[in-house]
Amino acid sequence: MANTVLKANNITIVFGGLKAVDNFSIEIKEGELVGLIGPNGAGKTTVFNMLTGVYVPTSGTVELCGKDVTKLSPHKRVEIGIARTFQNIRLFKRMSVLENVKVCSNIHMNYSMFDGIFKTKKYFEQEDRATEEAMEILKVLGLEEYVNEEAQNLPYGKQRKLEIARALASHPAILCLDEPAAGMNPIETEELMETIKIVREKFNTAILLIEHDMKLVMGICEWIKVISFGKEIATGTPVEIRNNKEVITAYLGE
Amino acid sequence: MIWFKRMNKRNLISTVVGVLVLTLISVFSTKSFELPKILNLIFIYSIAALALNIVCGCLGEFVLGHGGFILIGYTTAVLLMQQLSKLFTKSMGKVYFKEMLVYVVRGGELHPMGYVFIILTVIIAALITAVIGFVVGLIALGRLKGDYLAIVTLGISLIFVNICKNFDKLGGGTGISITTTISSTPLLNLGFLVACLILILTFMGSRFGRNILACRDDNIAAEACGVPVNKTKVIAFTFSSLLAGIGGALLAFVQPQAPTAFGQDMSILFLIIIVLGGLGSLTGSIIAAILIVLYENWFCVQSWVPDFFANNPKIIYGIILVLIMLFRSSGILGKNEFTWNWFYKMFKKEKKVEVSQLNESPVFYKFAKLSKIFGIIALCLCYIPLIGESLAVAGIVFGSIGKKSSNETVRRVASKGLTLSVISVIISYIVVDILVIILMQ
Amino acid sequence: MNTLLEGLKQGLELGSIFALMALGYSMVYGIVKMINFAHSEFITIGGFLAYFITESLLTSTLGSSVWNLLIALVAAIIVCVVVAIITERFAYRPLRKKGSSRITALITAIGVSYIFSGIMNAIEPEQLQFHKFVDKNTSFYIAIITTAVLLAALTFFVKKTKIGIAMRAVSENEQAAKLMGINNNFIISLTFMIGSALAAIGVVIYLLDGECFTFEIGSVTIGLYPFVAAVIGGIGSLPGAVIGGFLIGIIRAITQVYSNIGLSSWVDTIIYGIFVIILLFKPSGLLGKDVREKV
Repeated sequence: MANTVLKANNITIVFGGLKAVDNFSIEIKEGELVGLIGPNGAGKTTVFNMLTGVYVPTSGTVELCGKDVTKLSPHKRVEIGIARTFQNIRLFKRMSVLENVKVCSNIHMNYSMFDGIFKTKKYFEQEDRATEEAMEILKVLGLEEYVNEEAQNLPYGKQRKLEIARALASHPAILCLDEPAAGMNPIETEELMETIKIVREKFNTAILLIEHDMKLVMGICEWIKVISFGKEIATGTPVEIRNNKEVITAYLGE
Repeated sequence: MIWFKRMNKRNLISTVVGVLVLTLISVFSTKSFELPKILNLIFIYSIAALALNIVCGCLGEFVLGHGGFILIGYTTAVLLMQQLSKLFTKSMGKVYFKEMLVYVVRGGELHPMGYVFIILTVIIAALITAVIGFVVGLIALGRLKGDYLAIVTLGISLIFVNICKNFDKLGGGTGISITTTISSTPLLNLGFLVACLILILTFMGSRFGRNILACRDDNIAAEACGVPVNKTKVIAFTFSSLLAGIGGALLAFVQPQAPTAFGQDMSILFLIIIVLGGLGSLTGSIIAAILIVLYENWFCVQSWVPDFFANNPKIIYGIILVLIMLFRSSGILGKNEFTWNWFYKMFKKEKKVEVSQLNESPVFYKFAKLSKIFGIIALCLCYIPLIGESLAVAGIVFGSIGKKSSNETVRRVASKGLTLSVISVIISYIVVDILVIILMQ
Repeated sequence: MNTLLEGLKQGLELGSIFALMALGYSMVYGIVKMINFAHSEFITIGGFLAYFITESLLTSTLGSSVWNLLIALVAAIIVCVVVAIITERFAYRPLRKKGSSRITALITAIGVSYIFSGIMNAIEPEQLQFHKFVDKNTSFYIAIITTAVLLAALTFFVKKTKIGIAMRAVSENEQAAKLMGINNNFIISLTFMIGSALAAIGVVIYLLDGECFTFEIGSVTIGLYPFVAAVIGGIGSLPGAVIGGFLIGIIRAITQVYSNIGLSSWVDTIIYGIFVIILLFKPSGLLGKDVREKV
C-alpha cells in the first residue's frame, strides 16, 4: 500500500466575508498523478496556496508525509517534501539557469558560514554535489544548453520547464504544478505531457496539477478532482469526470 | 586549499598584481599631504558603499539609514580607542604609550603596535555595530516593505544621531575624535578593503549569497523554494551593518566628524554612490565611490573649477540622481561586474573579416583594427605622459569611426579598441595626477 | 512658553500646519504610491516666494494689510502648483511610463528635492524673518480653522464630486481606471497640484506670525514630520493625516514646554520612536487599510 504524501482535511478559508474555499479534502499517495480542475475563480490556486503554506486555512488541517503542516511556513514545508510552480512564472530572473535550480538545493546543504567563507572541503563537496544533481535535472528537462544563461532570456516554454526543474531540485515527495501549460501551443503542450510523465518516473514524485487544458488533464492524470465556487463537486477518473453532469454544468452553465 | 587549485590562475595573478600596485601607491602616498586623505576616503567609502549595496543591490530591500550604522561604528571606535589609551597609559606610562601611537602625518610613521590597536578596535566596533544591526533588522525587516522600510530605517538612523548629539561623551554637537592621538594609513585601509571584498565575494558565492539573491528577485518564489526569507533578510542586514561598522570605525582614524554629519545627507550620499555604480554590482560601487571621493576632494578643490561646484554639492548630486534614474537607471556598470574575463576578452582576436565581402568602404575595418592596436599599445605605455595619451586619443577617434560600420565583427573590434583606449586615458590621467600631487608637495 | 496649556495651544497650531502638509503627502502617496520627497521643497519654495512678495509689497500702499498677505499666499500657491506640475511631468511621469519600480521613483524624488534644496540655498543662504502679520493668538485660530475647513472641503471633494471619485479610482487600480475612461495623467497632475497648494497654504500659515526661517525650512525645520504624520495616520486616509499632524504637533510643542529638563533635544528620538513603533504594530497606520499581495 503506497504511503500518503499529501492529505488535506476539510480545509476552508475565509477572506473578509467571502468563503473562497469550503471544506476541501484531498488525499494523494506516492507517485500518483492527480489533476485539479474547475472554472476560473473556483479557488484552485487558493487551494494550492493552502497546501504550500502561503495561506493558513481558517479551519481544517494539511498533512505532508504524515506530519501536520497546517501552520508551518512555506519554506519549512519544502524541507518536508512539497514543491510548486506558479501560474505566472516566478523565476529568479537575474540569476542563471543553474543558479535558479541550485536555490532549491539549498535545503540539502548544511555547511556553515565559516565553511562558506573559507571554502572548506565541506563547502566544495556539497556545492559540487548540488551542481551535479542540478545538471542531471536540467538534462532530463532538456535545458542543459542554457546552463549559464540568465533566466529571463529563456524562451517562454523553456522558462516553464525551468520552474519545474527548480522545484525538482528540492527532491519533493509531491510536486504541485499551477497551470504549467498556460500560454503553450499544442505542440509545446504535447512536449509538456511527456516531460511530466518522465519527471514522475525519474524523480519518483507525486504530481498535483491545476490545468485548464483538458487534453493535458485527461491525457495524463490518473484521477481528477473538480472544484467550483470553492466547493468540491466531483472526484474520479478522467472518463468519469468527462461524463459527470455537474462538472459539465459548472463549466458550461445551465 | 582546494579553492586555490580551482581558481583561474590568470585572474588570480591579475588580481594580485592589481593589489600590489595599489599597495605601492598607498605606501608611497604618505610622502604627500593630500594623497593619503584621498586614498583613505576612497577605501573607506568603498567599504561603506559595498555594505549598502548588499542590502539594496543584492537583497533588493531599500534602506535609507546607512549613515546611522556608520555613526555607530565611528563612535564605538573612538570610545574604544579612548578607553584603550587610558588603560595602556596607566599600565605602561604616558611617555612610552605616546611613542607607540604616533600621529601619522607627512613622512611620519605608525608604530606596529598602532596597527594592532587600530585593527582590534575596528573589529570590535564592527561586531558591536553588527549586533545592533541584527536587532534593527529583526524588528524592521520582517514587517515592512519598500518605501516604509526606507523611511523607518531613516528614522532609526536619525534617532541614533539624536542620541549621540545629546550626550557629549558620544559626540555632542561637535563630535568626538581620536585622530589627534592616532591616525591610520592608506595601507591599513586598503588592507581592510581587500579583506572586506574577499569576505563579500566568498559570502555571496555560498548558499547564503544565493538565498539573498533569490530574495531580491522574488520573495514569494524564494519562500516556495525553501529559502527562509525572513532569516535571510536579517542575515544580509547584519552583514551589511558589520561592513558599515568597519567603514565607520576606519573613518574614526581618518577624520573627525560630528554626529550630525552621519544623518540623512550621508545616507543619501551612499545611496547615490551605489545607484551610480549599479545596484548589485560590487565593482560598480567601488568605481562610483572613487568618482564621488575624487569629485568632492579633488575636483571641487581645483582652482580652475568654479566655486559653484564646491558650494552646491546638493544640486550636482540631485542632477546626477535624476539623470541616472531617467536615462540609465542601472547605473554605470548595471548588474555586471568588472571581471578579469571581460578585460582579457578585449585582447582576444576576432575572427578575420573578408574585406571583399564587406559592402562598405574598407576604411571602417582598417580603422577598427588600428584602434585596437593603438588601444593595446596605449595601455602598455599609459604611464608615459604624452605618448600614452596621444595614442589613446587616436585609438578613441579610430574606434568611434570603426563603430559606424554595418558589419558586426568590425563593430566589435572597434568597440574593443575604443574600450582599451578609454581605459588607457583614465589610467594615464590618474597616474599623471598622482605624480603631480606627489611631486608638488 | 511656560505652561502646559500654552504648549498644547502651540501644539495644536503646529499640528494643524503639519496636518495640511501631511494631507498633501498622503494624497500623492495614495495616488501614485510614491513618497514625494520633493514635497518638502515645495514648502520651502512657497515660503520663500511668500516672503519675497510680502517684503516687496510692504513698502507699497498695501503695507502690512491683509491684502498683502493674501496676494503673497495666492502667488505662493500658484508658483508651488506650477513647480509641482513641472516636476511631475518631467521627472515622475517618464518613470511611470517606463514602468519603473517604486524605488526608482523614490530615488528620483530624492534627487529632485536635492536640486531644489540646492537652488534655494544658492539663492538665499541667510536666515530670513517673515513679517509679523498677526499675533500668536490670532494665528492659532487661523491655523485651526483653515485646517478644519480644508479638511472638510477635501473630504467632500474626494467623496462626492466626480473628479474626487475618479481620484479614488486611480488610487485603487490605475489600469481599471484607465479602462473606465479616466484620464490618469490629468488626475495625477491634479493630485500634485492640490498637494502643493496645501503645502503653500501650510507654510504661509506657519510663517505669518513672524517666524524666522532658512532655506532648510522644508527639509529640516518642518522636514519629514508631515510625512511621518501622514504615515502614522494612515496613508490614503485624509482624517488620518490630520490626526497624525496634530499628534506630531502636540508632541513637538510639549517637548518644548519641558525644555528645561532637556526634553526638547530629544524630540527627534521621541517622534521617530513613536513612528517606528506604530509602523511595526500597525503598518498601515492608525486609520489605514491593510492590503494583501495576491499570489
